[in-house]
Amino acid sequence: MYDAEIGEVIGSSNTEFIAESALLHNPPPFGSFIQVKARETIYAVVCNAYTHSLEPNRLAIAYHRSEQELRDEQPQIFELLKTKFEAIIIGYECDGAVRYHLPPQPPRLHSFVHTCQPLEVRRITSHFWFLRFLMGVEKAPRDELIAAAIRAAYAVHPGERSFLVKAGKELIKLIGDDYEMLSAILHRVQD
Amino acid sequence: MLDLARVSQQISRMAVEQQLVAEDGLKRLDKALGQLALESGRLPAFIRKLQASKTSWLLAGIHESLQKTYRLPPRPLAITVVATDGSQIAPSHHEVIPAFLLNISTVVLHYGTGERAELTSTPTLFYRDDDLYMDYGGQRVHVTGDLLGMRRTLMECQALLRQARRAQESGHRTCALSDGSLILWQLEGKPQDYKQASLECYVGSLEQARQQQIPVAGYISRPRSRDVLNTLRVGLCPETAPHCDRCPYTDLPRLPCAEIEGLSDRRLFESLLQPGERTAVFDSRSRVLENYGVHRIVFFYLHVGTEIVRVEIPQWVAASPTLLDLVHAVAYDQAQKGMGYPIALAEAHQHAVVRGAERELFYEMVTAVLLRRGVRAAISPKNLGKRRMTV
Amino acid sequence: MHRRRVGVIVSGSLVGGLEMKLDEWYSVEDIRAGKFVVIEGEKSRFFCMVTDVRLDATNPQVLADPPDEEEDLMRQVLHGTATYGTVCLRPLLMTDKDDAPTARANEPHLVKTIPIHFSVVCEAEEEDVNRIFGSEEYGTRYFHIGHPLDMETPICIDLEGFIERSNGVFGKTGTGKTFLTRLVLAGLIHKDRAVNLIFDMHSEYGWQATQEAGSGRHGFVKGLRQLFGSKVAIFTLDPESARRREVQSDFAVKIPYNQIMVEDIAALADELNLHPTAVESSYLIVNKYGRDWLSMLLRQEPKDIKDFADQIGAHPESISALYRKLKRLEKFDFLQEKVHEDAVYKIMEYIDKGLHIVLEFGQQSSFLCYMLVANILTRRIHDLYVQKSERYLAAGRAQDKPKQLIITIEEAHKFLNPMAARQSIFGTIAREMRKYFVSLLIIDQRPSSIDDEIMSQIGTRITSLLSDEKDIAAVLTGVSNASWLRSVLASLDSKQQALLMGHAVPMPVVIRTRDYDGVFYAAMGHVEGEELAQKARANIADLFGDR
Repeated sequence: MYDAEIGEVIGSSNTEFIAESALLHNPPPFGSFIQVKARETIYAVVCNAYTHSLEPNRLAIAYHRSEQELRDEQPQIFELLKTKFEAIIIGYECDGAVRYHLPPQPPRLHSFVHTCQPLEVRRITSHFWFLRFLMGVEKAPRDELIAAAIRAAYAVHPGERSFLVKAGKELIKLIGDDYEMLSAILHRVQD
Repeated sequence: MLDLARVSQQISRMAVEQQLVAEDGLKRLDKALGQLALESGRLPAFIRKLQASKTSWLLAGIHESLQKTYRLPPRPLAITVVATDGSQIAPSHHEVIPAFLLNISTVVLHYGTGERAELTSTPTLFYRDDDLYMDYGGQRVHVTGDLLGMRRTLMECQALLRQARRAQESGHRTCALSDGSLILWQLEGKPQDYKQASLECYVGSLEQARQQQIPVAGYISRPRSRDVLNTLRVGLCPETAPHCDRCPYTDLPRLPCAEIEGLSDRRLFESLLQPGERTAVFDSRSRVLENYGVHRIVFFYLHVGTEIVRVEIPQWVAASPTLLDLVHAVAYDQAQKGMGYPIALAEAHQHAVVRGAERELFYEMVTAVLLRRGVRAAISPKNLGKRRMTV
Repeated sequence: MHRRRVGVIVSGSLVGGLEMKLDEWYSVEDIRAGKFVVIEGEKSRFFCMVTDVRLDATNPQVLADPPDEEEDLMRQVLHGTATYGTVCLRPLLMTDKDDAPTARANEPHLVKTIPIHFSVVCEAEEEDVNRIFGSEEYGTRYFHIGHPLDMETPICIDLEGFIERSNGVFGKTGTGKTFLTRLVLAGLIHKDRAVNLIFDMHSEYGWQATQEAGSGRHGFVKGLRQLFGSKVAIFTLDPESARRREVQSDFAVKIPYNQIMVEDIAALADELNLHPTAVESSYLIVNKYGRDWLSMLLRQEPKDIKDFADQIGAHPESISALYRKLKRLEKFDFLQEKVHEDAVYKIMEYIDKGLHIVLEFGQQSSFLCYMLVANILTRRIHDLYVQKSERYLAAGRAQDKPKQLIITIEEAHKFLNPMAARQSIFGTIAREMRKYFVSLLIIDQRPSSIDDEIMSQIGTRITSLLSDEKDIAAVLTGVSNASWLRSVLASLDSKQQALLMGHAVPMPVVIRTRDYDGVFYAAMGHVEGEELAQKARANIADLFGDR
């Protein structure tokens, strides 16, 4: 499958980055695994996406038209809207192996973002240490994010029930005292 | 510090006087409308009287009844609207070096096809002597103020036509919009060399449009023009052939034609037009138009829903019912889309504007590059002072 | 050595025992009290027994809101992480972790410390068991008596340690004490460690007996005589019974009255319901008639008792009571006025030759009979042994050394309850330990009735299921830090499981007893049927060459 760019990094730090989506209204799915190909490949999980006006003083308003109608009659608004997405860094590629700690440098601005292919996702999720990074996220509900990431990982381990069990056990270590959250996440994962 | 107490009394006084003005204004309007109906009833005589008059104010050229209105024609589903605008960062001896920047924006909006809109702006830096100086009345002067404004207007027009032609040639039915008047009245009275060069350029662009049959229209919001109103003043004048230089009524406390003074065309037509309707097409007697040839500018008023606007078009556009209807429909449609002001013009303006922060950045960039190359760039103390106020 | 992992040590103390967190893939239901495990510490290896198992949870919320049956994923996730099993272990022996298994330093020794946190705990392997309990391969002092629970490795008792003291086989009725005793005796006989004199109350040890459990249930199991042939002699008190059961007996034991002493009667006081004064009165009879006191008493007619009493200066009522109670003895066939051969001398003769004796009681299996005979014979044998020992100790000649004798008695609490123990010969023997080369093997289902002091002399205790708290406490008398053993004892299976502790084993251990079957017979050297014929033919061939 042709590995198209899905975005370009427009802001980054050691722990996260924000990218502009290549296609309006088409950011990578919440909780999915993406990678930035720069000096080294950095892996991340999408934790937030939004579309807004380019100019801070121009707000989006309701036109009460379908998208097709808008494209026909107000084409300019599509040039002035941008879709952006934010992602949490969970590791990077070093010496042929995935390292589950923060890369020494943040992803470079204007690097291109790609989705991770199924085999790559399998590789990244062969360990569950990435879950710990998702625990610290505040801009998305934690249980939703963790469940979405586990679902995305499970999708490339089809039918491997033991995978889910292992993920659950790893979660217990992180949130063992919060049984409610554990329960909430496991329910969401099973959907 | 503002002494609000002292201002508030003045504000109250203003409100009272405004009210009187408004009441008075209504009376005037009634009179004007009455006169309009009257003259429309005796149109040929009216036209003759107008042709015989010599006034100090601009008179509209009338061909049809002033009461005639035209309903909104349907807009073609697939139509492309092109607009441009510009802004400048003027040269200033106070700033870094005497260069100026013109930022011309272009907007191409395709309707009915779902194609992507094209919103661009092209900055051009003018720094060569040839750019910074021009011939004006036989002298070499610095390009600044009005001269710079005209330079910009011409560039906008050229860009407008360039994009419009590109769109038309790629199979789109195109309409070009311009913000403000198409009548370069500011050239009136200017040195011939300057005037000639400017008009050649401008009219040349209009000619390109004519050849491709691309309608070009100027859109004026909140027009203050009184061309048509002035014709009613002529109607009011008791003389058969009014000659303002030789006005016999100067002894009177008030001139007969003064009864409807102070009004504007737009106020007049507010009462007569329904949203979407336009007036008949009127001629403009602006002297500079003598140089326009076939591109002589005519105009009509249009009710866009929120206001009455003045739309100016070259004669050849008005002569073609198709093109005239197109302009009518597009102008109205654009105003709807833009919540009262044509969206294409609004976007063009947004894209042309250079904000304060960007302006600062521009100067910093220039300074940095010049420094690197060893050219000392100086900022005058005055501007330095403007930059930062301290205590 | 690749041991199967069970869990890791998470807490504990030297005195209180250790706690292990069970690995998630090891089911709690597979851990049983008494199971044998090994802890791999940092510098030492610890051999332990499982004493308790419990369920734990990291978060009480999980227990307050447990997952439903259908919530498979949650259950699996919680298992081993938020919910897990904790196993209590008692370390019993430790060795250094050097790689030289035969080095002196690697001898298992008492536990003086505990392993570090998170030491891995594994199932014990055959090598571990052998190293601790010895193996029959190491020599004849080790006898294979059973297997640890969940393992096939043999557990051996050290017969040298076993015979150092008197020993006991305890357990509720029906828990296989007879089998255990038979095993032990077979071991002693097979390894030729001591000579056994067995007072077989219900004729279970000599010839075949019915099997109550295991394969071959309701069939017959072989007796010691059948297994060991001529090495074991069967003496009987009831030749008729023996004949009826087609048991070949070697000697019919008869006891003359003049061998019965007052002490023998005193020991029967409870059984006969004799008042102490009656016993005192016996001494008065002895004063007058010496050794014939009993015959003299029994010869009297009831009407003569008063006079008899007066003659000896005893209270007529006492004598009368004595007479009435002792008259019962007359119905015992084996008690006679005169006897051709002295049974005790005969017994000693066999013992000196190293032959083992099973004394069957046949129909004479009442407590009274059993106690009387056991007391009488043992008393005399003990006297003879004391003489022999003293002679040997004086001269020190090897040929004078008496053969180590082990006397097996059942219903031991009758002989060794606090009252009787003071006077009975068995109490004496128990207290003397091995001074005179005689020791006891006591069999009992009510150890709480046995005198404490005697119990503390019991070197090795082989205990099957006990449920009475008092009995459990009694069996654990003199064992230090024994509280943890209580739960182990209470959790034994009712059959074929026993707890071994004492001199014969380096550490207490729960075993599944060895099957007493054809395999065992063969191991004891027993051959039969076709095999026997083959063996005979082979022998003949050896003797006469190939014809």
